[in-house]
Amino acid sequence: MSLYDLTMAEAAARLKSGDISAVELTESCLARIGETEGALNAYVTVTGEEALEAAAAAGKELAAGRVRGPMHGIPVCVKDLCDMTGLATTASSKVRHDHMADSDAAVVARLKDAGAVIVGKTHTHEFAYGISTPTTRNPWNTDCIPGGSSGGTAASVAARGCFAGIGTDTGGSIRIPAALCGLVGLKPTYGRVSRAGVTSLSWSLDHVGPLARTVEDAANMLGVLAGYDARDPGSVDLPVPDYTAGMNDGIAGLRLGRPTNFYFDGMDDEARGLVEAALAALQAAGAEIVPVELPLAKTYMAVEFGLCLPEASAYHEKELRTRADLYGEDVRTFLEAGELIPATDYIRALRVREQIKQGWAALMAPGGVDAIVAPTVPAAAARVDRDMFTWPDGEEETTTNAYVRHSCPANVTGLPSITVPCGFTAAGLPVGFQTIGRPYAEADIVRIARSYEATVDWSARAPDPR
Amino acid sequence: MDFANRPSPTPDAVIRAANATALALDRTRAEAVQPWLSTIYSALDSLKAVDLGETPPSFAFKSRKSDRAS
Repeated sequence: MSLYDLTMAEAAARLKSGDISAVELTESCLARIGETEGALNAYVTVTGEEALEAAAAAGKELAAGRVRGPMHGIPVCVKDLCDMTGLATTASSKVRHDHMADSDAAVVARLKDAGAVIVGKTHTHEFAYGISTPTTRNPWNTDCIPGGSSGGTAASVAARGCFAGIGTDTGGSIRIPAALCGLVGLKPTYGRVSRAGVTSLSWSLDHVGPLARTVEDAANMLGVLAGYDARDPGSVDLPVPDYTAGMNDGIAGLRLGRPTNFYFDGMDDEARGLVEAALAALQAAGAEIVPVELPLAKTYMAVEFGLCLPEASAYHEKELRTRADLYGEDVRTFLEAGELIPATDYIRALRVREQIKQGWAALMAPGGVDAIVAPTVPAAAARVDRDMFTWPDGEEETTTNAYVRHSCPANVTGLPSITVPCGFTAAGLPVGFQTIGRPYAEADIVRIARSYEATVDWSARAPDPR
Repeated sequence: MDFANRPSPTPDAVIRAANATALALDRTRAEAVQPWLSTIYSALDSLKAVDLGETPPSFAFKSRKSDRAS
């Protein structure tokens, strides 16, 4: 077993005991990145020497007994939408090749303050506007997409290039790649993690959060990232709990809603079987699985796109008129289309959103369910050349719509959602299920995810892309 | 008042609409945008079926105290 195979919690324990050093741990990860990067292309920038300097500094503190927390000395990666002083924030776009950051994004600053070692910046689907991350491949099968838009982070964390990483999620961009790469991904409640210094896709739908190999590691990283920031107008001033404190308390007596509509419509049979088995495991762990009908389900995708398109086009308004030829074809087309959506349509989407929020709040009100459990993705990772899925009932759906469809309710409502691996297809590709909770109830969904994770060993499996 | 769905835009209509936003689209670009715009217009028109009454817009997620976890 190599050092990079440890979980973050295991590595932190060994760093704290002095059994290993932060430099050794970082060297192990950098070597692993060197082994896998040719097959994956997960990174825009590998920091190398800077990472080793940060590791040496962390090592000195740890050796002196000054332990900052669970991420001190831990190698991590950051999606290249996040500003990091002295590096370009490319957003994996030619439009941004010269966009140098002169300060750290809030989440980068928090990682540095926690003593984490940032080994590099990872590829995103261009400006986070897509679900395939075409620069990068899935470590479980390099003929397949890693998902997106946080595809570089997911590919690297799954391949053991680092222990955890930053993703962003506007329509599923943490949870989709996490599920397709066999990881835990945690999209927190809107406002829980600051977006200051993070390139926006859609202000009212954007979230920032962790991807990691275990629930505990994701929860620990959320504890580092979460907190109020006046620079982000969506930020909420609430205390940050220890998200791991009740993680192993079990789920006996919890009422978990299983949607009777929307989520299990249009889905691959193999993925459905794995998710159903996970729900059975939750039931065996003491939860009550309660059928629930989701409100206004037919509107979710229209609201997601009705908000995302015009907001993204507003963000890119100047560049689209001066450097349009530098955008990729898909992103340019989305941005041009978003310019042509009337304000009345945008406002209507915002009004429907309010009704959706109220409907979900009613589902999880006292006497209702404690959380919703559902598939994260309707199928495992698509091959890179696949544009459409055909479902068992013969219906066809674009891969983009299929993946976003399962994720977007938590973006439209702003509710926290965690995905956890729930098995592998016969082809060896992972899928996951998600738990969506009440506002700021990240600790509750961590507990539910951990209760399932404790019954399986999916996180022990490792891909070996070369 | 007619609240009908809009027709699928033609490339010429896309060019005219883009001009109104000072976005110059040539015919090639308009033909690339048109199918996607038609799809999103159709999706947005479906929202007209929701009875919104006096529902105000929700500009961003804001949790009410009563929604929060205990």
